Amino acid sequence: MKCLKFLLRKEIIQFRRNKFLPRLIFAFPILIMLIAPIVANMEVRGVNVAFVDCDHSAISRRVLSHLNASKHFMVKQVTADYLLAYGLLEAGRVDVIVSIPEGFEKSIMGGIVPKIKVDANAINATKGMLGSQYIMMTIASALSEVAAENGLSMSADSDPASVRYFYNETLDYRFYMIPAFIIILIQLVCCFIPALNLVLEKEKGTIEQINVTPVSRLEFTLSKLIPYWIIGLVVLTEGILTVGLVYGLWPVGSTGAIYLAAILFTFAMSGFAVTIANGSDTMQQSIFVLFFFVMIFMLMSGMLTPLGSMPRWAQWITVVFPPRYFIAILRAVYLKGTTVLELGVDYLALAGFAVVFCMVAALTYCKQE
Amino acid sequence: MNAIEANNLFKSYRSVQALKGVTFQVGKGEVFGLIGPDGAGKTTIFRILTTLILPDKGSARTDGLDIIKDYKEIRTRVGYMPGRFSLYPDLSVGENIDFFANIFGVTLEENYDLVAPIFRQIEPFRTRRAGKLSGGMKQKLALCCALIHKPSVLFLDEPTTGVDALSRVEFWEMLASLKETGISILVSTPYMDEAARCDRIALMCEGLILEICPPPARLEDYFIELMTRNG
Repeated sequence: MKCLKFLLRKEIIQFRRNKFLPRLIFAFPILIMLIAPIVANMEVRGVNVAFVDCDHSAISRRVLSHLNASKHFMVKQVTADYLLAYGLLEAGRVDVIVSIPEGFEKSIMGGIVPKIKVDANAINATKGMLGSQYIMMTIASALSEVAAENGLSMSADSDPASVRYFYNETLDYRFYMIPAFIIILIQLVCCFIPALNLVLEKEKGTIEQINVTPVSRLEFTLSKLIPYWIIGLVVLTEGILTVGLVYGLWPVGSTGAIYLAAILFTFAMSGFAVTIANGSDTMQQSIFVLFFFVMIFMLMSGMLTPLGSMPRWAQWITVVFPPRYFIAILRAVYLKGTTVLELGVDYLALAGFAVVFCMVAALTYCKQE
Repeated sequence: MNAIEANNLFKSYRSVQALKGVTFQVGKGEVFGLIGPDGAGKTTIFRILTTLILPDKGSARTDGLDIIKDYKEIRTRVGYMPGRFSLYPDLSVGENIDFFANIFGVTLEENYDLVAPIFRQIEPFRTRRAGKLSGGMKQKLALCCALIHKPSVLFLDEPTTGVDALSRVEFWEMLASLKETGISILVSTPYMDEAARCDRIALMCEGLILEICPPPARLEDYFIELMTRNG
């Protein structure tokens, strides 16, 4: 192991001499964390509404004014003609049609719960679903206001249920996504940079000179991994600080638990990447193979969409994806404050991957063909 | 004991037969040249003898050690300069030398006498990045790094290819002075005029050694005659 020190010193000199890498590693996490949580947002804004009023009553106007007052909706058209509104929906000019039937006020005053028709364009599924839900909530609040003013009871089962959201009170999708962005960052840095560094040595032929020296393959592999473990943690720290300072989201759980998981994750991913680099002869090869896996990890590890909504067989495949465990840990610790003990299985899985991938990385590096 | 013994080496890369039974010996303190056109199998011989690849058939000993069994020990005893410049271009001259000295567990000072004639020529550029050196300087630096651990056998794969005429002459003068220290040298070159500076040469073509002899006068004519005779 006496050579490791010199190999690492060489890596550090090369890293510092590189004009691009140090800047990239400093700026990339900050930029991503500044932009991604703002643009990758599923919150529904600006739902365009057509309001079909066949009742022309005080109550229907009250509903309309509530819709107008909401920051979610833009009432584009008020009409008594349903077909006109439907035409607008088809043309994509409005997303939701709210139809108030004739005799609406009358039936309310008579104590009958009236039916309001809501048509939503569901091509954008989230917008259609959330938009119609918001509409329903807005109408319900308008009606209960009317009912209270007139001393009517709106039949027992339409009592608005009281809902309280835990861990994310404002229902901000951003907070759910931020741990995923942090993981994507670490994954990119810990996969691509060590792999490309190693393949570069192959392309430049410098590895040939190393292969005739007494440097052991474990030492050489470690010299390719250790710098990126450190860089992975630097990236994590930058991410946490940016998120905390800009969005006010600080980890609820212990920082130690986050770093422990991150260390295991960087071991696993860099080991995985170096294994691929060992099997590649050129940059193109290693980049495409890595890109393939990174894409699959991003899509299937529960970063963007929940694991539970995938088919069973796909869920079983994800058992061998290290990011799956890291995202579970990071979300739980970051948003809920879960402890290491409670997430024991996930930590053990990550530790297992870390050991296996680093060993495979060392074993697949051959000094002799 | 010979510095290098190669017995009936065969090696093929997929469909290409690079070596078709190569046998030769290099004595201690000898400068032995492998002469032949591109694709003759010279680099393959270097890579087998320095334990970078395994032969398909045949056996070989470098510095008395078996290339398969004792590959680890061989790596501490040989100096290898690949045909392509393969030092770290983003490290400076001094850093490259220190790096290779360190991983062999030696220091520049320890073996200064051996490398001094070469090192003195590149010393003025000590802080310059290796990638920014001229072709001749790069070769001198590579030779310096290959010698830093005082190897008993030195492998030089086309050390003068792509180097200007004057630097080539200088380079061979350095090899002559290295020979004085008792190091055995296996060197390959596509240039016929350089063959004259070897003690013995092996004329190679398409994976075979055509003849092993002291460098004859009018080598070029001899080589062409040899090739036509062998079809």
